[in-house]
Amino acid sequence: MAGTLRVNPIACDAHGACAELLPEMITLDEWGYPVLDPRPVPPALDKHARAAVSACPTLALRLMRELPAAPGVAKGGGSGVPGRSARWGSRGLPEPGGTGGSSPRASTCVGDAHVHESRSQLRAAETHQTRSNCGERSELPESCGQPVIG
Amino acid sequence: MPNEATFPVASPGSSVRSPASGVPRLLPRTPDGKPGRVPQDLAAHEATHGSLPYRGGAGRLITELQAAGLTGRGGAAFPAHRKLQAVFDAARVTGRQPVVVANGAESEPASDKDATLLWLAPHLVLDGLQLAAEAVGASRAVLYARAAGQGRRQGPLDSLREALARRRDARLDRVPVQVVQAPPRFLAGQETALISHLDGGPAIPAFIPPRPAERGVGNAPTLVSNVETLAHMALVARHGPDWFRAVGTRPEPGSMLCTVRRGDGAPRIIEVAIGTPLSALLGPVGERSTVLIGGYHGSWVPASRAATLTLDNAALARVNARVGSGIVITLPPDRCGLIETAQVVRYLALESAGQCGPCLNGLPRIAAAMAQIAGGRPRRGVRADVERWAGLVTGRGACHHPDGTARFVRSALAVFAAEADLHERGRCSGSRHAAAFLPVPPAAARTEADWR
Amino acid sequence: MNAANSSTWMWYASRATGVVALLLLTAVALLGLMVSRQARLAGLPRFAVTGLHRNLSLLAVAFLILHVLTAVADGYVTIPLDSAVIPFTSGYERLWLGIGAVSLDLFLAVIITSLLRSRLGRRAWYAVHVLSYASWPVAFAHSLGSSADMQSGWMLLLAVACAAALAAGVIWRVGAAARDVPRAQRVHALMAELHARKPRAGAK
Repeated sequence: MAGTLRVNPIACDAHGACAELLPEMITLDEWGYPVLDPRPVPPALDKHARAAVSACPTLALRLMRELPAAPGVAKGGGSGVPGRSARWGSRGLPEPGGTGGSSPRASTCVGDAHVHESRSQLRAAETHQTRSNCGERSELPESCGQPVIG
Repeated sequence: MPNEATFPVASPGSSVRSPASGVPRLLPRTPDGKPGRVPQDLAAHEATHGSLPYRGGAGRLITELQAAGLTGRGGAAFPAHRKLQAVFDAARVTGRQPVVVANGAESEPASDKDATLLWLAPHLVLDGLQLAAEAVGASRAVLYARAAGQGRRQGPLDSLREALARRRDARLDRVPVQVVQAPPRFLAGQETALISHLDGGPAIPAFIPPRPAERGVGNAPTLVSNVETLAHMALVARHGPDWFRAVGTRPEPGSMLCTVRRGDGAPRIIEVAIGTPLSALLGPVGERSTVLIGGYHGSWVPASRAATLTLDNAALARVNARVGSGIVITLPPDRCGLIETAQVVRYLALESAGQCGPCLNGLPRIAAAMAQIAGGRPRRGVRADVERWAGLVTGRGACHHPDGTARFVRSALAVFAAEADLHERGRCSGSRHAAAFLPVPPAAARTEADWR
Repeated sequence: MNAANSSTWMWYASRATGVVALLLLTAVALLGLMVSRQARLAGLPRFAVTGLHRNLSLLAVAFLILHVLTAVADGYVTIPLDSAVIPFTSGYERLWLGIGAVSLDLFLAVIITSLLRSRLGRRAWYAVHVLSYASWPVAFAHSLGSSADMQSGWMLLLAVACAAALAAGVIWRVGAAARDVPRAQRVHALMAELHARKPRAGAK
């Protein structure tokens, strides 16, 4: 039963004992904080991983057993750190591809968009007239106001 | 037309008005269909939307929300039904009565849509809060909102308390609602920070696990939902999932509120169907304009590219951007994107809770480096330093503040690369301005009290 | 004759293990202060500080068990076994042995909660661990009060040296903590330092 390393960054005080006891999977960044290998701990290193967890003076390092990558985790998305999804589990991040899971259909819906001035603007200029901006935007279809079922 | 036979949308005896088609849905309209700017009081609200359709039992709303495909409008776009289900299940397992929180903190300085919604249509939000409370079996509800920000004169909390008083008189609300003021911190709207504040502490994030849905306010299962999401729930409960899906895209249905800032910098709140072409929001843009999509944790996109995209995550993913909370800002060509980015990053660094080593160490260094890049005479290798630090902070904090900041900075360095080269040679293509374009609050948190 | 010899042997053993336990506990306390400030022992790896702190405390437990058992088993005076953990119930030297029992109780609470640390969680564990600040002075009082030979000569010097070292350690630790930047000011402090181009590593 493989485990995955995880650290509570709030509890972590950069003691650095973990990196000495499990250098194969934990390195320290330039400020002394642990950078964890997101892959599951191989069986050969399990004993050392448990020693590292036990040695942490603030109980910040944990070994999570059987933590599946939750479906709600975004992969990549510009984070630049490979395999990040395996580390954190579900954090309320959007499911890839949206709820349907399939690519959006070619016809997207265009409704008429009305402009609402922000409160702060209105307070400053009470006499400002509301504009209907339908005509200004040539991109909108002629049938402004007709919902398109997508 | 919405299929009202599939999902009974009203309990017997209540009245539901036929919904108007298209958008806007949340923001009020005048009788001739023009956008209204008058706040809807309880009478106007009931005249427009009908009375509050309680489902008559815990858990029933959840099925409707699943069919509707409503996702959170606070920026994370998490499926609403899954959150409610998690809280409902946790309540059953632990035997603790849940708490529901309407999150109107809107800590993004560039966003104004939640404040506008709470001003113009508070009863939609409060209806949604009651429906969510019923769905999870909550005994306590909280409306968490920020006080007046810059440039505002009237406090929104007072008008909300008044709206609640009207509802109490009409005996509308089954779960009492407490109004709590959010501290003016960037992280105040973060889920675990909000919970920490409601528990009497500072609004700083906590480590997950435990998840708020399982253990939140007072160790009870807690549902934290953006106010706009709750407003959509109030409409789904009335008009059904099919009506909700009548606009938007198939994977991302419905409408959303956007805060749009164009060349004059003034915020406009626009409700659009998801998937609307961005060109409809941007207005006329020149070749050299740049667009910031998703706020201060979002991404910069050249305006010419942005104009070809639609406002949905599937399309925006192609340019490494996401919809977020619907902030779309067009930076005029006479503004230096690096200077604007640097002053925002400085604000983001100062708003760090300072709890996690990588964020505490990385963000100030990134901010100082960006100030160097923006202010002229940057050392060689500063950009490489920023890239390295951005990689080091991503995913290594207790919350997503460092990740979002890193994304914002990286996209700036990518999109404004030519500008950065100019700066290295001591020049800048932007003209001098007295004030920055992107709004950044002046006050910084200095003491523990500033976080409470 | 034999009974007197064996009783003398156990009596000496009890006092000797007591002295060693006190020395070990002093070292454990000093190491604990170092762990709390992320200090390092010269030439040793980082995990050695916390490792020594734990291992020496377990060694101290072993010596304490011997200390108690030999004192109880020795026939010269009657000390019931349960008076080692229930304070002020021994007939002999009720006060000083009672104080010893108090310190043993505190120490056992710290040890047991530390062994069960991962199940207790950080907060509960730390709340009990702070009691160790109380257990050492109580043990020290027990040592001086119950043993005549610690009250003079080189034994007294040893005891005083331990107390002085620990006092210095506590003063250092409290002073360093007072100089810590409060959370709400950490980012500001670092931004100011970077502005003055004098950054320090590990600003937490």
